[in-house]
Amino acid sequence: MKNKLKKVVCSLLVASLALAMAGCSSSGDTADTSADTSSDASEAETSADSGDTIRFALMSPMTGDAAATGAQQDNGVKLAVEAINAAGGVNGKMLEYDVFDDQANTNQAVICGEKIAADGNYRFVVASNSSGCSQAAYPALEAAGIPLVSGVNTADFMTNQGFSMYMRICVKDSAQTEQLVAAAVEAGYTKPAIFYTTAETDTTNFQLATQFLQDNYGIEVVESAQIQPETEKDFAAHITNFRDAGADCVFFFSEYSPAALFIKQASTLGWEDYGRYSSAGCSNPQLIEIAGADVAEGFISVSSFVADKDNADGEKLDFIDNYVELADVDPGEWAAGAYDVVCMMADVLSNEEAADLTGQELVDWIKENETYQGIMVDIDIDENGDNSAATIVQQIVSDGVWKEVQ
Amino acid sequence: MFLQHLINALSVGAVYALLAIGYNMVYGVLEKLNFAHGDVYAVGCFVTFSLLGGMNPILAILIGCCVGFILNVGVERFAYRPLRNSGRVAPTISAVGIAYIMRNIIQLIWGAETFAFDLGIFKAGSINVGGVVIGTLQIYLFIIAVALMVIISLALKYTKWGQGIICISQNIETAALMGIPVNKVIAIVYGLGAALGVIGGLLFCQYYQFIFMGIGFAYGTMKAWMASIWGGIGSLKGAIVGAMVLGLAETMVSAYISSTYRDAFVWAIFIAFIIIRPQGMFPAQGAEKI
Repeated sequence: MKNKLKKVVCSLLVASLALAMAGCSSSGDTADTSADTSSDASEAETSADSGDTIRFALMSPMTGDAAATGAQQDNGVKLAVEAINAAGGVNGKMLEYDVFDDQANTNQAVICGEKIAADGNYRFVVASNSSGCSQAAYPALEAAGIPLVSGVNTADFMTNQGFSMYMRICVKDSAQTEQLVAAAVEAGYTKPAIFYTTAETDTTNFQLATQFLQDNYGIEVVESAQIQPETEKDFAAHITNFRDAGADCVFFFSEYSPAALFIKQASTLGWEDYGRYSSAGCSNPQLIEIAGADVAEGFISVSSFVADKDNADGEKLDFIDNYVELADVDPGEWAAGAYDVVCMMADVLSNEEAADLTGQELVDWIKENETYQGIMVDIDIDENGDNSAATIVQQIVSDGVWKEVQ
Repeated sequence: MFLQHLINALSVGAVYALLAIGYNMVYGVLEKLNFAHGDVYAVGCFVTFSLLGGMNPILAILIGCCVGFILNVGVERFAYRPLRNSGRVAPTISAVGIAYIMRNIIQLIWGAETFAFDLGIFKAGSINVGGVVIGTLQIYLFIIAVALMVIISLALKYTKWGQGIICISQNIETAALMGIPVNKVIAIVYGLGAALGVIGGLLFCQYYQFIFMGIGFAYGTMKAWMASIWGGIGSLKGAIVGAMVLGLAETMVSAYISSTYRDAFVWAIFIAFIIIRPQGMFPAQGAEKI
């Protein structure tokens, strides 16, 4: 009798869990869809692209080690949706979005892509933070005729392989790295070391930087270290090696967290007299928070977006203020990129000519006709899907905040 | 340069030792893989982190330890105890499940971001001895790890509860027949293990001066588990020595071989070691009546 009762209780528990998981899906609510962090989102009720709404999807890591940047993307999208809907929507239609958690994992990204495609009611997808995830999800989306638009996919390969339904508004890695290397060399550094992670983008940046240094300036990298960001937090061995190799500057190709820990640990070990340069992944206020303002002072990065209120006005200033109110932290490139993507797509769909276009026709129309002035970058998508109007700026940590280098 | 690497390695080892002491205590009693250890104590660490702004840090640490204690007692009661006699697989799976639940609870409450961390107790600084830099915090950590080991060893040896724990670790059925409240003692061991884990976790966070939701598994569980196996299951001395060996292996591989493949090399060394000496360097000694 007791065993039978146990079986019944277990069955009920399993059934409850299954129901709860199914209920994790987003409702596509216009005001707040950020609570949905499940890749099962599209299994929810799909109210379809009704006459009153325009639905789109956001692919982003909402759980796992990259969840912090995923949260930024989600917040950026949320602010854009709220602003557009508050202003009357797109030709009267409200924007709705669902979040698909790819966990910054390519296998999960494939599943997300397939779920979005199977839903059949999304006009476009805001791409994942990770270029690799966007690449993994793309085939399913292309087959379903859903454009994939990215705010922050910087890997060169994304627009080198004929992805006709893919567009991005950010500057690609090679351009960022070339500018970063030039900045360090112009500052007089001749013995660079490179600290990078196993992520594909960071590994590519390491190769590009090594190549640019050698080909353009005849400079050899004196030491390098590749780290596993998920399992390695102690960089004392690398710091010792860099210092003993005589490095006078370090390039960081990583997210903000490993770079912040590196400079902080280097400071503890008494190594502070070296230049610090990073790709856009580090241009985040949290680098300063983790490393400490004193240690981070003088850190240089390149990015398309700086939350520098002294050099912001209009919509950009409003975005920074609203973001701080929402998330209690300054926005980074992930948030601004996602915001711009949604605003640009809303602008496109508000145009009479493009309002009813879908799939490849919509992408082609954007490439031919759309120009948009975003808070992060101006947008003019070229034939390959790159943003020919995008620019990057140098930024430096000064008095505890990121400042645009004038 | 070698000396600096050696100091770095011992510092890493001291951090791992703090994490391994609590883990080894629990692992030593039941010899079941507790993959939830790190994630459970991580919750306690985050509670302390939240309280640090407006509270005495010592009080915040104590509250964090209490949260870890209560949480792990609950986990033991509802996730492990029902599976205690179900072999090794079911409790292991249950532990993995608890680990994920705890990590997601942290994410839900505190978010997935990395936060700067400072207990406000230790004054950061360093000593330069002939070009070799030794952080003062590194010295504190080593002293705390050894002190904890001594206190726990004495408590196990000279208190009634300690003797009960040792008895249960040797044979649960016999311990029960001798009148030892097995369930209560095991629950307390789990609770203490988590409370010690919170202390280790907080010192880990203090050492690296950050806290994030991933501190539990990659460090609290995996490193502590490796250190425990390396040093000898159930031996606190072994946990510390094992942690030092692990720190040395990781640092030296990173410094002289490859940081990219550090984990692969360290695991290869680890596997080779347990093939040769599966009981670890200093396995717990138990008297056996023949």
